[in-house]
Amino acid sequence: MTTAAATHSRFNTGIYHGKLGMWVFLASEIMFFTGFFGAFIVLRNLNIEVFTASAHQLDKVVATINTAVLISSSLTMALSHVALERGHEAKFRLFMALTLLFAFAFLGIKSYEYATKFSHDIYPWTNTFFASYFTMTGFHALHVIGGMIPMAWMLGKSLLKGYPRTMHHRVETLGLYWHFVDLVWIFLFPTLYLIF
Amino acid sequence: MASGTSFEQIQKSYLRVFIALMILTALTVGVTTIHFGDTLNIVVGVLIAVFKAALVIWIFMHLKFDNRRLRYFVYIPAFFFLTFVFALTFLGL
Repeated sequence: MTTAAATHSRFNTGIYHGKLGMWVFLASEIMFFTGFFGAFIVLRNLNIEVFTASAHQLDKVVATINTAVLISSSLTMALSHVALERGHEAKFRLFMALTLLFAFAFLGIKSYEYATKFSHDIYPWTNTFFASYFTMTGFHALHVIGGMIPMAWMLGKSLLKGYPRTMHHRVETLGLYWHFVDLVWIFLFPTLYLIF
Repeated sequence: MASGTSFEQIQKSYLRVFIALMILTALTVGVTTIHFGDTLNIVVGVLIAVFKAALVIWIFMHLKFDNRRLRYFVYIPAFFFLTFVFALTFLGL
């Protein structure tokens, strides 16, 4: 973003284009996940016994640990932005690396959970609960991967060439996306693991 | 973000939000051991999630500090989300 219009706050909105664009995208993302939650509720009301029995097969402890991991990643992402905004590039790198590490940990724990389910002969086609479970957590995991790519890119660029302070808008925009991914999990966690 | 505050001050306030989110996570897991009844358990779970979401949006996503009109990007989809969820839950479709 080299042009002034791209990074400077607009007179009429008070925010820069990238941030506005990300919020429009996130609004559409909320509706995307709303569809899954809607389908989940309808299927649950039709098969309460199946849903209750299936949900009890999920591992609450592992999911709680994963929730903590993702919340930690949100903290480090928020800190990496402030660090770059204030011109502390070393701190920015440290917090960005930690965020990436937490994201890897989340995916690792999620893979372990999936592997355990598969080893117990539980698959997306087992029943409507597990179809919902794998669809919702699968799309969430894809969003996590989607966030890790720009994180790795920013970190790599900072290590090789340095990442200038003026780029902090990009980190803030990526942060908005990343906190949204955390928010989706905040709702998925009680829905899938806790309410049954 | 207020430009007059130092990195350390912001770090401290972010840490407080983080601790609150962790406590709420522990709480939402903890309350599942108590049975208020099926519907009430769902309501408590959703309420805690909404509270956690508000903290993340308000502080980590800077909505508290940005242009107030930006908040409609949260209010409007959240309204549709909640309407959809409540309608589907209580109409028994």
